[in-house]
Amino acid sequence: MADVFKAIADPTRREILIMLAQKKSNIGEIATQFDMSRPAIAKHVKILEQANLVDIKPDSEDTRQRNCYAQLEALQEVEAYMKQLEEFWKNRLTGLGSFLAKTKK
Amino acid sequence: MKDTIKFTVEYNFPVEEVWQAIATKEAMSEWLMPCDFEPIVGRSFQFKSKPYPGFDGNIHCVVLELVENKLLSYSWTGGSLEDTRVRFQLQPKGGKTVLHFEHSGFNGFMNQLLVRRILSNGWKTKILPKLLLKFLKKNG
Repeated sequence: MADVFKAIADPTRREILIMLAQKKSNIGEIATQFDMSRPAIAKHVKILEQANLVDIKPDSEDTRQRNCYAQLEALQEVEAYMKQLEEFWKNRLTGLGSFLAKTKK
Repeated sequence: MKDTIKFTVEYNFPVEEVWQAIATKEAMSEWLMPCDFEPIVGRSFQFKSKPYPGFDGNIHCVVLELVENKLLSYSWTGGSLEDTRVRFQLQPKGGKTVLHFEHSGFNGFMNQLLVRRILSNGWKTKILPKLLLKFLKKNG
């Protein structure tokens, strides 16, 4: 969960993700779209993979190539987290009211 | 999905009393979470909550803004959240208090569109990534 937030915080990773959402690509193809070295791109992709936002599979025709696919379901976790956080604050602010009523009579 | 959590709540107590509740260690520890808050801008403090897998239970904060009876904000880092910001703003209303609460700064990524559009419209359409790209370029 923590990884999803951090993964998407970076603008390069957001662009990579959007690129992959349009079309699967391998690291080399991604690197050509960015002013960055292959290892730097591979590192970004790795972070996206760890956050479950990208899936990497060998190409069916050329197994030396590894294709990256966007996998955006993990973002649902983020949404769920935000809802939870919103609920947390709602409860605490109600609790603040009870606290005031109890202590400030 | 929102990029900021916002609430406006009215309390039947004057601002001075609400201020005391939101800006003193003892009160915050009761209604919010146990903490070692000190009302000094720049001062770090921590909230201690229940740990669970992937979260040690500590929220690290730094006081960012403090105007007595009016405004308190602090950073909020812990668990999944890095350097987000919590803000309490008090507005007197005839002996009562209106609290404007905000929790914001979800890494700029809460580019609400990124998530909302992807989730609700299905991200496999062709138009969507283009919209997203445009949006992210503008906001990223």
